[in-house]
Amino acid sequence: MNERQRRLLEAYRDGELSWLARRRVQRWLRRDPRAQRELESLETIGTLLRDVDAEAPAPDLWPAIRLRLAEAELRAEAPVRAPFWRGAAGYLTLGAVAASAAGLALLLAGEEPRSAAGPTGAVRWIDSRGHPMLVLRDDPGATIIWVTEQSF
Amino acid sequence: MRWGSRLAVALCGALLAAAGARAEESVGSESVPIEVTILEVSDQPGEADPRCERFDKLLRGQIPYESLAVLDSHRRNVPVNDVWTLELPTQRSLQVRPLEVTNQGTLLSLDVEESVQGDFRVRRGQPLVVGGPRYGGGRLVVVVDTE
Repeated sequence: MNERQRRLLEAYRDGELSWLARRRVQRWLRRDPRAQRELESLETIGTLLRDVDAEAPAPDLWPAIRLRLAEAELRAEAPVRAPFWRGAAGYLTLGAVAASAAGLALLLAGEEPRSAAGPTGAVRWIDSRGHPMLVLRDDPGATIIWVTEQSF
Repeated sequence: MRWGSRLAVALCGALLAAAGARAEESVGSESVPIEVTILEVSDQPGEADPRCERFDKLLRGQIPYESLAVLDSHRRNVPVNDVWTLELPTQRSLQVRPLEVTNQGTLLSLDVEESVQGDFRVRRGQPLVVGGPRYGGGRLVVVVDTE
């Protein structure tokens, strides 16, 4: 199955096809058992990802965490000038925050295919090539992806 | 006469199918107006740039910064399935490829060299923002938008 066919099945699963295109895919599915299996796999992955989304932190907590993580990263490589960064405790704190950020980033995105955060989400799939990454926002207003290391 | 009718029906069917296929192809071969804006966010105070107002609304509250500056802006009509390659200020390349245009937006493939790649459904007024790497005194942010 090529990439175009896979995308077509994804669009069919997401209800994004026109009536005519949908009929064509249905005919194709009736004829091709491989396509049926692929569609079933896509639906299984979608269900698993929805379950993962359901276990995400409470929505009133996550924006605050997200902002703190981005802030820690933004300042992590800034010139040493503020008192907070001077002490060893500061570095330990920063290290802990960065480690948490990296862990959360891998949990959130990493190299796994990511389902859009609902029908309005823009992310179809994403791969950060091993760089820690956060999807800060994925809604009708914008999609914001933050790579937390020097990577481009 | 009976065979003639069947032939006529078959021809009509073939013509309708061909017209449908052409209609799909025409959707697939259209151009997508894409705008790529390169920004720098910094934790140092800076002058207010009126061009940044829209981006400031997007980013404020999402990432911490003191100032925002537009470094570069590009705009092009990119045919579906064509690749538009731009060079970023970091000397890395950015590739944008519109894959599909539907009434739900444009499916874009984005590839930042040695960094993020993926497919994104970008709608008008719902830009895709990718940022984070250090650049100059701040961080580089790339905004991809369709019109």
